[in-house]
Amino acid sequence: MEPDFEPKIMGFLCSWCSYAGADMAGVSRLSYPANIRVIRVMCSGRIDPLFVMKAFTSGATRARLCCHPGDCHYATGNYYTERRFVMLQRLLDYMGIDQQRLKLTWVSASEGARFATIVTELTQEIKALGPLNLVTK
Amino acid sequence: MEKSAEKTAIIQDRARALLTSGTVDVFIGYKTGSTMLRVTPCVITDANEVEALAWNAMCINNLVATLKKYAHQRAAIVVKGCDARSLVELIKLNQVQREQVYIVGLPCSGILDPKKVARKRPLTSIKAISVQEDRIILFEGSGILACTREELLYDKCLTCTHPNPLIADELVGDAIDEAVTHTGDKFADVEELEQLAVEERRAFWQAELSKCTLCYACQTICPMCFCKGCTVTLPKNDPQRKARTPASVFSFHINRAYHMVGRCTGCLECERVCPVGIPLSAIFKKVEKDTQELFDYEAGVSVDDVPPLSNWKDA
Repeated sequence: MEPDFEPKIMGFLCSWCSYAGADMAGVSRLSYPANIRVIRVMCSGRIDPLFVMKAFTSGATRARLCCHPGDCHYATGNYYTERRFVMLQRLLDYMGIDQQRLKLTWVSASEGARFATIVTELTQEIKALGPLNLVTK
Repeated sequence: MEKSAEKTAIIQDRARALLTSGTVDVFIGYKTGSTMLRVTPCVITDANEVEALAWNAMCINNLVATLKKYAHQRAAIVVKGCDARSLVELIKLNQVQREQVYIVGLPCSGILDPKKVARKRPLTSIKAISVQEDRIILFEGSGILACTREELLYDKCLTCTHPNPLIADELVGDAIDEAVTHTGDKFADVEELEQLAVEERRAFWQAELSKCTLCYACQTICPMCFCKGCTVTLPKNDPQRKARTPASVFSFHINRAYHMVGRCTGCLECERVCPVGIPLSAIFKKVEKDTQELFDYEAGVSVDDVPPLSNWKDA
């Protein structure tokens, strides 16, 4: 592992909870690693596995965050997400992309501190795992 | 042999009757190709051409993939047990209207893999084949050779759980007992891979997928790949398609596999047509296995099932 490895983490955040949670973290002046790149989606159900692969093939390792189950703004969006997520995670792991590189976590709008903790933990985990090396031959 | 001649005759009769009465516009079946061991799909529209149709133990092609070309016509189609499952999926996904197709189902006890046959005898020397419950007999000019099912059949035929078409307007021949065809463990190779450490799996797939030329034959042949535009394939002039980095190859195969969740019925035409011999069955069997484990769902069994990713209840 390279000592100065700084991972890129793609965060797909649901507009209603996690994104607001990230906003809350900022408003509360909490510090968290700058490794996460945030993309706001209207619902975690919007996240196509294509996005995930695009992120991986562009050199990222990623997480996605959405509302707590039962709290979805669109009632059921995150249940669909969960099903897709489990399938994709298993498939990626089977193809040799460690399942720790893909994470689904729930953060609500009021949980700014939780958001900061999750991002910090994720960054540490990924640093330990090292780069994915999928981009070059 | 008599049996396949008999079935050929029945198929020809049905085709003649259906085309003459105007029940269907096209009849999709098989015809023998350049050698005894090659068959090709055969589409006929004229009742006078039915003599071309054939059925034997080499009819591996999944004709269901051909149906989309005849979307606005009434078509009759010959399906085996495995093909019928693809058809069930297409009907479920509104790609085929049930009343537009007349399904001639053929219970199938297994199809011969020309690659395996070639290991036994030169393909050109074989004059006839007889598939029986416990063995397969190859007739040559001078004599006969009896082989076991494992020696000659496609791997998928050795673990076939649905030898009889689940959907059909009529069946040609007698139904076959699942115990005859379902003799091996379907997921043995998948489980073997699952046991490995994640780095070893990565190395395995990297080695296998480095052979991939992104020709997209697997996607072209797939009966379930019916989208008019595909988001996971790269256009011909895309430099990534020439460069074939692990990124572009992995993302194609993983995305395609993901899109097959709850759709892939395991006909494994993709693996058959792969020009470089990537073990695609290991990917798609994994998808099938996970779908069964997580959602208790088997694709292509009933048109009334709700696809697992379109449903979140009982997760």
